[in-house]
Amino acid sequence: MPTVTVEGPVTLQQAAAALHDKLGSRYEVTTHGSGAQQALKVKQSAASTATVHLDQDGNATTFHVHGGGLVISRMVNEFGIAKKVADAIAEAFGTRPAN
Amino acid sequence: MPVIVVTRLRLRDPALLDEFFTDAVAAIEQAMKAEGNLGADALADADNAWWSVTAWQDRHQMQTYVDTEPHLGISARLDHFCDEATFVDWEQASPNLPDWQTSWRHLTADGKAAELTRPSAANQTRDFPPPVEPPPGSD
Repeated sequence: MPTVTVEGPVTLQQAAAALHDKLGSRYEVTTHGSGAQQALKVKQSAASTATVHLDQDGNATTFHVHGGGLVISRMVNEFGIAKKVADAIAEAFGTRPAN
Repeated sequence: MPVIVVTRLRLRDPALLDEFFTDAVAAIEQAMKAEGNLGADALADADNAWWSVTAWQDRHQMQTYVDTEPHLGISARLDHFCDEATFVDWEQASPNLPDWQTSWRHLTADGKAAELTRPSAANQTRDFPPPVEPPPGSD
């Protein structure tokens, strides 16, 4: 699961806007859940999805990006769209993704 | 009684992911099709760690899977891929797969570490963080 840590607080809405900007219109970015369970879902197609959730820790924000789907398709998405989403977050907030 | 098997493997180098991923998918697919398998799942955790959990009707069927290719050959490559490789199994009444936090508790309490050429310190102590999961219902 790719993770990206950036300095400072970042809201889910800011992350959604950054992903819209970096990934373009071929990717749909929506918000799901509420409170601590709130997450972004990034969808390229029915089979290609990823989930982004945030951990705020002091003065840093960590993005956890999981591939969506079931078992094998999830593993494939961990390798594909999740990595692309993590790269986009890293680029948007000026840091480097960790695997 | 159903047998649950949990593995946690951490890549010693992120550059090995392509190679490891091919093997990981092959092993999970094999498990899902194996006789006696009651379920299989995998989780990509933070820090290059990958978890798998499988449920089996009994130990004999689980062992047959372990000793059959491609799993047999893949397990021989763990030393190449990993600096942490830990396994645990237990019997339970339910055939359902445990959740990842339950799997973590069993693994850190009772897991057995593989002998690796380049182990991390945590490989023997099993001082692993709980797996990071996506929020429930986000799929």
